Amino acid sequence: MAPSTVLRIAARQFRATSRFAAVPTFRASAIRAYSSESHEETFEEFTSRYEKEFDSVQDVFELQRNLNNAFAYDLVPAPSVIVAALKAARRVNDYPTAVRIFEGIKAKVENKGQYEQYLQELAPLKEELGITLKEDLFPESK
Amino acid sequence: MFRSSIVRASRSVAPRVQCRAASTHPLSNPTLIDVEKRWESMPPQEQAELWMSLRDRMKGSWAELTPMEKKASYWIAFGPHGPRALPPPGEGKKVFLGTVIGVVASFVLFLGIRQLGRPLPSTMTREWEEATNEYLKEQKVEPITGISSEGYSGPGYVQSPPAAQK
Repeated sequence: MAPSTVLRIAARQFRATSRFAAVPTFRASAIRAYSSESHEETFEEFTSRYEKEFDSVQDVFELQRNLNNAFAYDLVPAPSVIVAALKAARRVNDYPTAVRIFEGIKAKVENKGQYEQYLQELAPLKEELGITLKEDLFPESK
Repeated sequence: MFRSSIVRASRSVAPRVQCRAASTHPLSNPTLIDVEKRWESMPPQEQAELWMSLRDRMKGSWAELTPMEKKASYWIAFGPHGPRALPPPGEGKKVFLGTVIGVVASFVLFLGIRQLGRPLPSTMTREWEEATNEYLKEQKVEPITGISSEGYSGPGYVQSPPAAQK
């Protein structure tokens, strides 16, 4: 008998007894989600999740919280996520955070070439929004 | 829960706030020049006013912001002040000097206490210890692995310099 069947039977018994005990049933927790069975998020799922998050951002706090989360992973967020974040920064009228996003990319990428590629990819939006990079704002502090 | 209700309340107000005119006049350079140096000493009221006027400017097109405004707004938001302040210059040197002074002071204290202490006991001389070895061998102490065992070549109980040297 497969382990999942055992669990299902156990869950059914639990539900049957709980009807008498007047305890609310919680079906979802009857089968435990072990970490080895949990689904690992792919890069594409991560991208679409954060695009959605940034699209629904309403204030500076949410924007910065999402940025902290997105940049905390062991990956560099895809340009589409960065675009969504920059648009969110524009929507909540926060210029410094927009500059900070580029700083975050610079800190996350492995080498200068990748940073240049990101800048190339994001150049049109950067021009459109009028964002200046930190290294251009404070050239003396490099 | 309380915070989220505030956020929700502020969200419902937000559209009205955003209707407030995005100020079209750039802030004059004298108000922004050297904001890095003045910020810490500015009264909170003045800081808030400056930040609010910069926020009003940010509501318009960012392309119209002057470089001064961009610099000031970035520095106020993420510059090295408050919790982001850099360690004061020369901090490493100070810590190193403090550590060296502590080590030297403890060494002086150690030597001082040793100076005040009594001299070594009379048994702590090479001659006495060699005599101890001989006596123990005579008595066949530790005959299997120790000093009186066959082919023993260790120092036995000898650990001090000869008495004449001292």
